[in-house]
Amino acid sequence: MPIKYTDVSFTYNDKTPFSYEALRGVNLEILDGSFTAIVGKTGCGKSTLIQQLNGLLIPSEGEVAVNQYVVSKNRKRRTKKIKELRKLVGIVFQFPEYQLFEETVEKDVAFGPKNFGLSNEEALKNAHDALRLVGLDDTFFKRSPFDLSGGERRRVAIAGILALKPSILVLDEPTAGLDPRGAREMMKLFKGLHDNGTTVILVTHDMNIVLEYSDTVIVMEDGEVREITTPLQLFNQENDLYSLETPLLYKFVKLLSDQGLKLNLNEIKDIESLGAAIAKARGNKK
Amino acid sequence: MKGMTLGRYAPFNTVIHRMDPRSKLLMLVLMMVAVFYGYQSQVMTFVMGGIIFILILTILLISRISLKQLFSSLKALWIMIIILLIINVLVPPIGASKIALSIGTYNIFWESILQSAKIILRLVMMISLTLILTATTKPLDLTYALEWYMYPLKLIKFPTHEIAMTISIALRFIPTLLDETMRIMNAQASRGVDFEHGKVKEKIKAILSLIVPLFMSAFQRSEELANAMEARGYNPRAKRTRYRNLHWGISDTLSLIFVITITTGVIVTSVMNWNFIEMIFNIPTWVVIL
Repeated sequence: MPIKYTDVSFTYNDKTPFSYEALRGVNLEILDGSFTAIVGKTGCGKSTLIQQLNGLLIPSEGEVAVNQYVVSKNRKRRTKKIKELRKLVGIVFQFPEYQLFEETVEKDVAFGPKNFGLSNEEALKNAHDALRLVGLDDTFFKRSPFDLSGGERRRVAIAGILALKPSILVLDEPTAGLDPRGAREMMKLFKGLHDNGTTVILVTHDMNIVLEYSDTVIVMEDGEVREITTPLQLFNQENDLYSLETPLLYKFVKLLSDQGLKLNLNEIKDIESLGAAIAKARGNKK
Repeated sequence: MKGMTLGRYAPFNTVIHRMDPRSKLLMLVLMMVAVFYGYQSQVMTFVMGGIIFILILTILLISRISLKQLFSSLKALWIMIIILLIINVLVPPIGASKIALSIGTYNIFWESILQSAKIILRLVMMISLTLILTATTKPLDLTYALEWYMYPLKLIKFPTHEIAMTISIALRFIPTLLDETMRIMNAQASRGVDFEHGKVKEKIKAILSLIVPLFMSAFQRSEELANAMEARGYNPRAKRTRYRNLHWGISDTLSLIFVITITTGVIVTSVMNWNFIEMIFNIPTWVVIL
């Protein structure tokens, strides 16, 4: 069991007039190698939830276990090796492009690995690999991150986390503010990492992404986990319980199958698979 | 970051909260005068200080500021208190004669200890007063009050409105920048930065990884804000109306009279060298000289 939340509650500014309860009695498990989407309205506690994963926030009550590492208020139980935990769990925050600070792109990306004790050469090698992975070639390595465009900076920032080679990758709305093409490339990158065995946890408002990429969905509302389900089950519900926008693709497929076309909903993730499924249903084989 | 919430406005609805910021500001100044006024005898200093301190504590309780909040804002003072003690012990006041403690040939005088206690008492009172003001007044109201007091300066072409605007923008962005700081700290901590431990060189690097992005975003924000203000036709020289007006109420007049009475009383007592303690209790002269 790689990730397990047990009765986790979290209150900001506890015992002050500003106290705010962001999480209430959260219990959940996230399996190794899964692609989990966390959805819910703004302010429902999604970001608070993921910050407990590497000990940036400590639960006010309950505990979070990631492999053998435990994040808890209890001094006896909680892990002393918070740095190892942070190497294991890489978190990409919202608008990560604002965290860049070094003179060159490669130095900035190598900053993380160096913090975790890698030598300069190893860190640079990791940095170059990560930068190529996010689609930035060698010409970018020596440039200043402040000269880049917003989208390129986002890539550099994400490379900064990927260079740590985390086995659990947490992404907080990584595609927000990117153009559709950039967003698509970004998601393809994460899918590639997932196919290579990385556990991916994705916070998003984009239900198209949820349908296309995730295998598990955690629905949150008012600091509580309302449902842990699959994307298909979530969108199949008649009434829109959590005011999530049902993906256009799913609506279309639903209409088609209501009209009598026999489609396997599990196979349809994007336009290509829809085309293939329609062709299959109509008996046309290339 | 916990310490950053000190002195922050706490949204209660007490008498003190409802008062006009102008009267509160004026009363703060008057009370400060009362706190820092000196007397010729030490006993008088402590008796008068004690009376004012009790008064301040009462106001503190009325405005629903917990004593815990006060103590945590005093925490930062510990170092100062220790330094004060050391200086006062090493450099005894002129005319010190009552030995409290002898370490070898070195003497620690009662006067030194009393002197330090006096300064500490005053510091505590000063901080409590400021805490009352900032915890019960919205920063923006405070700026309005400041602008109101600066009004006469307009006659000599002093840019009061611009200054008030600058202050209110600065105040407005303190929480925003704090949030930003927290965000960047979290992001860098996820990249393995340790802001608390580590060698000096690592610490410098850690701070740098926080400061550079923070400045970048602050500059960007200021530019965006300037654009937004200009887009809405902001002109600092234009005559302005206000959504929120300040209201001087009866409670403001009454409490101002009360505070003026106290301050006047303190000044009169001090200037007239009127030692009522001696009169009432007839304390032996050697204590009074203290």
